[in-house]
Amino acid sequence: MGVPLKTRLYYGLGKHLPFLKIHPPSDIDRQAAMILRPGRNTILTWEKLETGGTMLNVPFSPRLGRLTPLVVKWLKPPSHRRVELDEVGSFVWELCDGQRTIETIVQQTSKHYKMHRREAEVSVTSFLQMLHERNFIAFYKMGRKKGNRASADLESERLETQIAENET
Amino acid sequence: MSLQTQSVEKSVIPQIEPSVIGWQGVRCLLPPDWNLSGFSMEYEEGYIRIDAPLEKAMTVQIRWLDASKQKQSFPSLYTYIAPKMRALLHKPDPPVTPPDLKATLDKMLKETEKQAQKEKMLFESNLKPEQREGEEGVRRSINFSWNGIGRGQGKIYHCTHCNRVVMAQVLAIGKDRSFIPEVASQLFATLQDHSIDGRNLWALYGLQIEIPENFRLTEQKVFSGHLRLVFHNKGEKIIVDRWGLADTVMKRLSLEDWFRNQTQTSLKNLELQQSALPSGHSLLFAKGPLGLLSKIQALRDSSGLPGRFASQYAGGVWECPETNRIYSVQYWHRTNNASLWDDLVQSCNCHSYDQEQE
Repeated sequence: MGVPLKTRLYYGLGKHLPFLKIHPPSDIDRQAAMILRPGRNTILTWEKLETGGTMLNVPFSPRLGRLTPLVVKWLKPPSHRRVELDEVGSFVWELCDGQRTIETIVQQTSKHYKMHRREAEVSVTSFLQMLHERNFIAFYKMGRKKGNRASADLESERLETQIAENET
Repeated sequence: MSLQTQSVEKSVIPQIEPSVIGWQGVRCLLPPDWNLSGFSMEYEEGYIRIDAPLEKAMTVQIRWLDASKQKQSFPSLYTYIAPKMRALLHKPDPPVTPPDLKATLDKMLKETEKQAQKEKMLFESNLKPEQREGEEGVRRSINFSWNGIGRGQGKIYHCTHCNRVVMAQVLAIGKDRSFIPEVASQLFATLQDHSIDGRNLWALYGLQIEIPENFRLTEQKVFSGHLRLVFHNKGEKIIVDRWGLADTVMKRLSLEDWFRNQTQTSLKNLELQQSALPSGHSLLFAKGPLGLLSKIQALRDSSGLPGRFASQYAGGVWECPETNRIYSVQYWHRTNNASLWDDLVQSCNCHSYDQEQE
């Protein structure tokens, strides 16, 4: 594991003891944030809709405890939930390929929808933040290369293995 | 790939015109893509902040205050009675002592110096001697510059026309400070601090409209994709809206449906009409007396003064495909002010025709 023991302990204990929780650095300036590259979570599947929007298929997290297999067996809940993005959201989603920076996405959105740059920046950054909170995307400092794994990749890998385990 | 080609096809004509900023009677021109990022609601004393695009890390700050209010500490009985007695005895007002620009400037520079000292940085400032400028020397001004946390170049002046003290400065926080003189010269050459022909320009994020100076801004919404400015004057009300992403909105609704949904009053008894604007856009509008409920609401808004409440409504909406926006101007007025709405719509500049011709 690449994460040091102390950090792992802090992450684990931070769930129950908030004062130990490791918070992200609060002094990220605007310029540093704009060169991050949002990349889609590989576990998600998505399809374009006729309306111009996009439908995301998000697998349910099986982290519900020991009773999960029983619940799954009896209640047969859907394995995915569907999230619909509107036209503008869909446009931004397609640009989140891990190669383009937030700055580039803002510029392209601003051009495409004839928005003021500042307006586009506010909309796009808040939308990306919302996607990130739901683990739909991750932010890369560099372009995505082989061996350059972000937290969303690790998360999706973990989910995939858990789903496979539950299925077996 | 297809996405990129799509975006190129739909891309807007590059903006080469300067950004027009107008707020509370202050107006100026700045390089393209500079946008209002901070403002105050007060007319007598306030500020605006205008930010450069990301790569330049520069800001323009403009502060203003009413010089006559600056002198008054607490209103006394004398301040209420004296003007009335002078008017009664036909005596002229006492000569107004001009505000001390240097003292105001020193105060600001001291605050900036304190901030620099906190960051353990050297601070130095340079003040030029006071001078007269403008037509017939209506402005007394002092130019200044400072170096500390970043660099600033500015000007403080007193305008005898509107009796406002205005302090405008260009700040650069990043390493690249070469643009400061260029931006400062453009700012100082175009900065206006009072209304022209009794109208104040309100300009931000592509919205430009001239509102009579006796109307005061009472509400605002500056959202991404939607701007709303609400003005009041003695029971009359003006609401100006600017919506973005018009093509997306118009896929689901017609302009008429959209107008009926968005308007602040019932349009049931009013007939919608169409006319053409000078920009070539088709204006959809409705004019007429307010319904009973709307009249009651207007009476409530006018603090129950029957002579002041608005009884008529005039509102219009148009789509500007060049900028992909929808504009709407609504006016609640008394019967004798019907022509103002036409002036408001004419003064609302949704896009530059020169740019279109190019």
